[in-house]
Amino acid sequence: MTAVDPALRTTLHFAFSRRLYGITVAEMPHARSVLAGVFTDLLTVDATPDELVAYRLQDEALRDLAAIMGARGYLRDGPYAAFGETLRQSLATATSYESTRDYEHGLFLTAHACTERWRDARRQPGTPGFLADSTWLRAVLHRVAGRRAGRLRPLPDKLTDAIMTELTTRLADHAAFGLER
Amino acid sequence: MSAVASLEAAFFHPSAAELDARDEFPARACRDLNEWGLHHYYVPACLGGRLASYPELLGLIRVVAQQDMTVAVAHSKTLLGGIPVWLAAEPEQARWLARQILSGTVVSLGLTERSHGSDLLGGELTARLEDSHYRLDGEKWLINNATRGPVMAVLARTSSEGGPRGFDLLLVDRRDLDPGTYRCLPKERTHGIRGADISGIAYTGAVVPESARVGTPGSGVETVLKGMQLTRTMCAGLALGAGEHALRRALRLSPEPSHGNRELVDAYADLLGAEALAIAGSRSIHFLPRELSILSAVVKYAVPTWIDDAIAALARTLGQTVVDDAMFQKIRRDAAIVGLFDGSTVVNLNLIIHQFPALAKNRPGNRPPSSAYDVRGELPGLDRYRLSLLAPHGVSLLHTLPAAIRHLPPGPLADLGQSFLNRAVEIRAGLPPARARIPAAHYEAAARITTCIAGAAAIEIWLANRHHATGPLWHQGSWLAAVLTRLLTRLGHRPPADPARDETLYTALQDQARTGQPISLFEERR
Repeated sequence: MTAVDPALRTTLHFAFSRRLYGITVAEMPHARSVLAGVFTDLLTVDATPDELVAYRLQDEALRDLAAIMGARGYLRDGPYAAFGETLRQSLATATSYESTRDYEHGLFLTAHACTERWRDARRQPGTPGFLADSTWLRAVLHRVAGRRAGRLRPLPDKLTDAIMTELTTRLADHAAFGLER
Repeated sequence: MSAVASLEAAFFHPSAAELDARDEFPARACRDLNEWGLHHYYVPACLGGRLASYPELLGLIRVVAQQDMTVAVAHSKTLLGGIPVWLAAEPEQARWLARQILSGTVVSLGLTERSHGSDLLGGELTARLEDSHYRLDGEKWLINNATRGPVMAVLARTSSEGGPRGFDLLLVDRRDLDPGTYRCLPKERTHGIRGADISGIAYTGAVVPESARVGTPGSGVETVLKGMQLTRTMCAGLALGAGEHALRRALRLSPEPSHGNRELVDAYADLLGAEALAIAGSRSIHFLPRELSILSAVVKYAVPTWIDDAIAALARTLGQTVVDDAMFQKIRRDAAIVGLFDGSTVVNLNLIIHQFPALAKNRPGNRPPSSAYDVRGELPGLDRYRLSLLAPHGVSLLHTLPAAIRHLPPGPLADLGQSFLNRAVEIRAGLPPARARIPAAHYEAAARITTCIAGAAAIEIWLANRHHATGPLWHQGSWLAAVLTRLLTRLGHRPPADPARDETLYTALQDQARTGQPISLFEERR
């Protein structure tokens, strides 16, 4: 699986420039919630020790982003061509894990690992505010719990807003979308 | 032999992967389909064609797509151009288009524009009425067959203010235009369906007679939206074909995946559930045209989404041999388009959200006649005057779900049915009122109500066909139990596992895939 990072970057550029029904895509609550969810999942992928979880989250993230990109994400030329290329490469990548591995147990390990990462980050002097703050961890746990229950609900609006703010800042700063800023 | 079985037997297209690698249009395959007469099924029987049954058309599209989605998309585009004309045109115009299609002319539908995508009311291509002629200026882009099809049904802004009554659909025959007044735009290279002619057209002062308008002035958007109720339902045929193709291909490449492979059985159950929903949706075109504004959105949202999930699960679970296969990769890339065109996933969820109040309302209703969901049942003709942009009484599948459950045999099936009904009641009661700016949570609610409707459809399909349908899937309601289990899981509720049933499904899938039978609920193609 190739990095979802550039795909998210492309989708953000698209969402901020594309106007539909009188507003930009990035202003639509549904798109915002998808973008915030994908960013949350990238943070999760960064912390998880479980390969299956990492693979599935990235696979789902690409498909979620593809839904926002719509037809633009399906073109091999033009400003968003890189998106389709990422998608193509990811489709040609298999997982290396055993298919009998337990996804739910992996999610449990993931929640644990993310909590540890947050604790460490808080103790570390000079950790950027977003990583020391509990927002991202709450978002991660919301999504991990949703996946374990088989029902992934959108993040609460407050979390979506906070995460979108961080995401927008990182986009402007050309910073990576992971736990190491 | 049914038309669908005969097409499946006749259509042979071994060059799909090669053409795809070269981005080449499948001209030969399209010619073969014309030779067989598939284009006759795009024209209503009353106009000299063979279109009398939408379930049959669904099956025809499916058997083409299960060999090559590119061919199915390229060929069936003519249907998209035709349907709005069948719905709204004066008889003379409809007869003209029917003659064109029957003689092999490719017709396209020009809706989307570069800066507006699914936002039809944002369209900027104008048609100004001057002395009983329209003058067309502007561009349509990402149009399937825009270059190959000489005739295009073009949605054009006919009043400067636009709005729901500010557009018209014009049937533009490029062969009659002054060559200096239009230009075909280059083919766009796409991620999947690579051979398809996805291009566009730009008009600069192209002149068409006033008689090119389809229907009464200002009716363009309404006609297009009603037409989409039919075409969206037919899109399910593309997704089902892709799903079937993917399963067959994956099992051929990894002949003995470990028994008890959960994800494989789940993917199969997803395909079967999608099929039941698509059949119910296509039969509803005949029986319940007033409900199509919701049902078509439900089908168009759920079927491609579940098939996409199922194909992703196959890739995940069957490993490198499958993932490395060029054809499997093509199927995945191709399948991803179905969720994008003719109204994307988000557009369809929006359509469902706008009708939450109707979906929440309870309305005691009679069960449908048994012929409605029996695949052998006679179909009444489509009554186009009963198509409507809103379904004020919601979806009768939900109203009659409690009565349908009572017909399930006692035991595991009735228990699953009851459990499903309980969730459905809860979900309907919890539907939020529609709001102007739709919160993200509404989309999840729309996906959940879609799942409820799909379950109700599966139950009706099972009840109406269980006495005549054959094969191990129908034994003790195995497929229905598997589908309801999958749907309940999607609703966040996990029924206990049933290894014996999984084994039945696994064996049925292996048999269907190995012997070249349809990977389907039904042993015979209809």
